Amino acid sequence: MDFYDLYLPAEDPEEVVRSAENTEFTGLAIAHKYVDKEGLDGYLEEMDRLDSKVEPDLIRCCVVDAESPEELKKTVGKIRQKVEVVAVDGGDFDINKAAVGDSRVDILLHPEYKRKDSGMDHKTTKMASENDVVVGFVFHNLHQTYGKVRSHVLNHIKKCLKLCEKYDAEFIVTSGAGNKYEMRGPRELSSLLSVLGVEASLAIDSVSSTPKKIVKRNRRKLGGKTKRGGVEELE
Amino acid sequence: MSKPETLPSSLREKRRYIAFKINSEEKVEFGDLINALWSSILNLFGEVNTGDIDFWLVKDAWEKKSQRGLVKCNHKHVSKVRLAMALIERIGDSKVSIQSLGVSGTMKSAKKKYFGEKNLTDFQS
Repeated sequence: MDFYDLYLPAEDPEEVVRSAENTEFTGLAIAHKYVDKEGLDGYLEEMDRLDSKVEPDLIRCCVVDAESPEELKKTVGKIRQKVEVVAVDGGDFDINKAAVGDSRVDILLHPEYKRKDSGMDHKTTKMASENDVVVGFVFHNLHQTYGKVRSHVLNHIKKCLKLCEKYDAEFIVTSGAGNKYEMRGPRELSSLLSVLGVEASLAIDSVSSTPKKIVKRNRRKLGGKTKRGGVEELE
Repeated sequence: MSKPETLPSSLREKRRYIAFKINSEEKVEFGDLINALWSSILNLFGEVNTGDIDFWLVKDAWEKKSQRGLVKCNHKHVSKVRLAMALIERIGDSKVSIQSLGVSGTMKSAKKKYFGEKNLTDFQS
């Protein structure tokens, strides 16, 4: 089975990828937070260089941390054709709503981050399902909390999962590792969802088939095999 | 900053309010009470189950003078909260016992039933 981790905001990518070689991951996405065009070009060069040195499949992922929905749309337009995965840093409800309403976005990361609610309602979840935007839960957020706050975070994730199951929105779990010590294996990541009441097969899908589908779909699009309007070139 | 919309009633979790009274040597402060309740629940049930309980101590309903208050929880976990409250025997330096007065579906009815709160409609007829 192929496992993927689509959000690794690592400062030292090589170190993290090397540590992940011992785990079962087939594909890893070192995330780059978009600031400007030069930064993105540098990141893509670095990934090309690293790709030849390491074993796991490296996926180009860019994270958009926007202040407003307008800025989000503008930035997504700039990066969509350059990277394989476009993720949006959630937390602000307006940003969450704009991200799930934009079909160019692949992942909405931690919609519940630093909030007193789950960050999603029935309407936004429905939009996520219609626009094929996947909701991503970041395991590292649980490392940063304990006790009362962690119980609240778990409760918010659970509420979000219930909505996703109701409206058939897809979800994934990522480690969000910044260094090699924060890296976790795929089965450890899926156990978070199992504990929160998600069926075992769906929990495994959240680290395997769902992220794989995103990567495959976008690679076909970037390779020019998917034409406009859902027309696809078959081999 | 905008907030998520209120979920339809079919998707909303049902809640219950537990009215309680504290019997203690000295009067208990709200801050000490909230710490004692949270640590009791977290120690007894752990972080994962505490998330399910959806526990909340209602600040506006706390009466310092009569040492009474309300806690909110999920309707399936009322007994867990009652047990956690019953296990508290000390808050700060004073010995305490927390007695639950009863359970209600709304704050308004809880205050009316267990705190003897009255409004103008009670004086009609």
